[in-house]
Amino acid sequence: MIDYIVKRVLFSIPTVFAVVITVFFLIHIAPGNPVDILVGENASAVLKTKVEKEYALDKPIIVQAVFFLKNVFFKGGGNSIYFGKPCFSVIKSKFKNTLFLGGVAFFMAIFISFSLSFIAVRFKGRFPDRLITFLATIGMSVPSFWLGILLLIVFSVKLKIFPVSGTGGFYHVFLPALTLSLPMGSYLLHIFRNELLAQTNKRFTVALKTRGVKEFLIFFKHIVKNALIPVVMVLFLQLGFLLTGAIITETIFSWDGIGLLLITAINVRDYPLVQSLAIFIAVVYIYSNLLGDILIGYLDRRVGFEKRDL
Amino acid sequence: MKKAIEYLAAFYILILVIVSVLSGVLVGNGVYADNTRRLYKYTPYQIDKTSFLSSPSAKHVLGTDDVGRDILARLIKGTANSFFVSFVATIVSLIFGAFLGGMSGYLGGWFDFVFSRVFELFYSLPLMFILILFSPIIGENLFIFAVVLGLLGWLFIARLVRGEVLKLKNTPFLEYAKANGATYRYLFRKHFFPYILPPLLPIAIFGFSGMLVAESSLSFLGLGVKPPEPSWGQMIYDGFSYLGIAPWIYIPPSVLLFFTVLSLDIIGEHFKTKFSRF
Repeated sequence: MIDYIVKRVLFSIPTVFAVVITVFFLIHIAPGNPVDILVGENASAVLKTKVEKEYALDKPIIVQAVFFLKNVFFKGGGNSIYFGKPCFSVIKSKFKNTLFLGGVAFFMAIFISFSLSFIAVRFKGRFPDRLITFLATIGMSVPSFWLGILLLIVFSVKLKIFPVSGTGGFYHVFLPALTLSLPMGSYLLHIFRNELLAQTNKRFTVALKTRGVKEFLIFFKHIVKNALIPVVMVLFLQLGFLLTGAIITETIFSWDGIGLLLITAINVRDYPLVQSLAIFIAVVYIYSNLLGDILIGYLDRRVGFEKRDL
Repeated sequence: MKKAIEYLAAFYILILVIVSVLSGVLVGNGVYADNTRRLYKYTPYQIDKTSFLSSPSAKHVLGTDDVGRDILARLIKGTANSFFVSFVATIVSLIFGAFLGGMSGYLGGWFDFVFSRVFELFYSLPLMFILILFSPIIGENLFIFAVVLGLLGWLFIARLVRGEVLKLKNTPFLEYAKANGATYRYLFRKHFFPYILPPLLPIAIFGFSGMLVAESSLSFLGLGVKPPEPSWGQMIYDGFSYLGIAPWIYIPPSVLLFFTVLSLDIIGEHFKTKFSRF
């Protein structure tokens, strides 16, 4: 198991490296002069020469690449034009807000999907089950900006229960977290419900029943444990999405996180910040997937670590 | 009951497709088109100087937006734009994904290794970033936007096709056909296509609805369809600024979007259960 983890971590390093290189080349492939892309066409000549020096854009491409790598790995991504600070320190200060929002949404999604799928399985095929599956189908197909605006109108504008926008404690986080967690929760609910039903029909359940094991013990000790494996897989595949896909939710609720920062950076043409954000988001994706893979390996002992795909 | 809902969903999508195909006839094509002789007398771009933010009335059936453009005309054109972008993007991602995934699954070896690494790389790069960088080329050209969106959405399909091809590669009947000297043409016609295409249909339908949402989300953020060209996401964004005072801008596109995605999910689910091999 340790072997597997070490191997995975080692294999992730080239991927991170490749992401950084790709970001560099994408900026060069993109139409227009890199200087114009980095600071915008209408920037002053002083700023342009300053940026040219900072990224060594007057030198050959290999030197530029080395400068870029140095900037990313040792200088905190270079200075943000808008904030005037190293990009990664700006990102770090915003990331804790996104982390808070994502964490709350994560637990809300788990709570919604688990409790409702238990009810759905308990009343299988009857009215509550059908209602919950129907609602989950709707919840899955709702675009997040649609849902966010709807919640905003109902709870903030009409009922005035929650604040319209802003960053803060649990009072502020509720609506954005709900917007994020409903689609994810419905998706999880579908998977969890189907998996629970599939496990209920397996032969080991029948065998346990004939031996007279109590119903709820079978359910919570055997069925749920087995059904959790695919759910955890999906949960962690969606973790990266939760942390970064919050762009729209954060824009709607003006939540001061990574997503809003990305939109701000685009609107003020702060490309050093945009590229640092791209690298940062990619790294978060890579490592949340890694974490998910390791956790699944830990849960699903039926497949040995040696046989797993890298 | 289930069948009725499925037929209703298919009917709804059919109507939207017909409307978007006929949108040129209904509301005109260009920014400067003259609509006085057409079926609907306003173009999506035409400004009515006498009514800004006016509520639905006999003159403007669904009201007007903040600069006095007719909502119904914009809605029709927006439907056409959204459907066009999503359709092209889905087709592009299907072709690209099926080809690369199939190659990687069938050839295996180093090609598969390289493909897996490229897959991982693209999977971890945020889509937004690439779209932002390429927004100068994309500009106002919907077709290029659709192609870029499609090239970014091929990952899922490629992975699926790769899995299917890997499964098919080791089946006895394929071995048998090859041992008897079957040509590639025969293999593709008799084995690959019948085996891989049916599971791709629900994926294509779900992909279409995903593209629709992606297009709307990007347009909502100002990265997709550029004004004055309307699309659902664009209209929802316009309406978002006037949420309290002019709900008629925001409600029609969002209701259409919601029911479209729901209907596509229902239809996709139908085909998924019909074609599933498990």
